[in-house]
Formats: sequence, C-alpha cells, structure tokens
Amino acid sequence: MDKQELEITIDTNGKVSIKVAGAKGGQCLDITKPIEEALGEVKVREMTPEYYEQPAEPFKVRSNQR
Amino acid sequence: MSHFTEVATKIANKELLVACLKELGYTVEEKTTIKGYRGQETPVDIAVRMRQGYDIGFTLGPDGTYSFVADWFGVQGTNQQEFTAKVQQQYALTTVIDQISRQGFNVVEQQREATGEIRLVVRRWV
Repeated sequence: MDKQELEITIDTNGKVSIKVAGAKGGQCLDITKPIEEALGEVKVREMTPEYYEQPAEPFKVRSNQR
Repeated sequence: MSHFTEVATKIANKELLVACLKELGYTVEEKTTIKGYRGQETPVDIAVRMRQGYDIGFTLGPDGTYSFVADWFGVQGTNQQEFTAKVQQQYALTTVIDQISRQGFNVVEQQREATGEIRLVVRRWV
C-alpha cells in the first residue's frame, strides 16, 4: 500500500495551501480538485518534479520558464 | 511532493457555513432579519445572534456566494475585520475536513501556529 499525505495550511483570511506527497502523475489533481472546487478560486497551482515521473495522460502544464 | 495549490476561499455552501458558525460557538438562525441602527431591520439568509449589541448576518448574492451584513458600528464583542477573518478561516477548515473525509483521508495532525495559521496533515493508504 502507498501512503498519500496532504499538508494543508489555512491562513487567517481563509486562504488554503495544499501540498501533496506520495501521489504521482495526474493523481494528485484528482485529490485536490474537489477540495479546490469546494473552496473557490485556484490562485496558484505548481507542479513539482514528481508530477512528471509518471505521466498518466497527456496534460498541458503552464511553462515554468520565464 | 507532487503539487502545490493555493486557493482563496469563497463562502458558497450554506450547510458548511452554518456548521462552521456553530463550531465557533454562535447561535444561528435562518431566513430571518437582523437589527441595526434605530431598530431598523434587514432581511438575511443566515443570522448570528450576538449576546449583546447588533447581530451579524449573511446574504446569498447572485454569484452564489454569501456576503457579511451588519451594522458593524453597533456590533459588540468583535469587529468586522476580526469576525470576517475568523469565519473565513473556520469555513475553509470545515470545508477542507468535509472534502478530505469524503476521500478517505484522516487528520493525523492539526495545530494553530503562532501566526494564527491552521496547519493540518492528513493521510490515507491506497
């Protein structure tokens, strides 16, 4: 079995930050999307290197280059 | 770590709003009015009955989100900034816990930081 862990921070204005650990590919989006939708508007969504390890499906990601 | 997300919370779910107000220890009434200056009344969808001074209400706007309504000058025991921040944070917490429980996560850590932030660690095995 795999352990999946979320670290969630809620600031004093109700702004929520979520870090996902242990989910690969697009799986992490399946976890956080319902939470994001229930809360409101997504401000920032950054993919970290693990996301690209095992691409489950083609997915468009905003370029990280400036 | 797979990804990092930041969401600004909107108050849109009535049940979760009522639940969060109750968790904060307030008495809540639905579909009623609140009083302001000189006994004027205004209709609200949800009212928080304060022990003294004027009450605080919420109305559902056309965009599907709730707004705070009060004659803040006469509200006692809290103020607009403090009350708004407290409710927004508690609403976000109530919503997050509701959502993660649906996905089979359990809260393994919950603490309030010195900065006032709430930090949660939740876990599931798949």
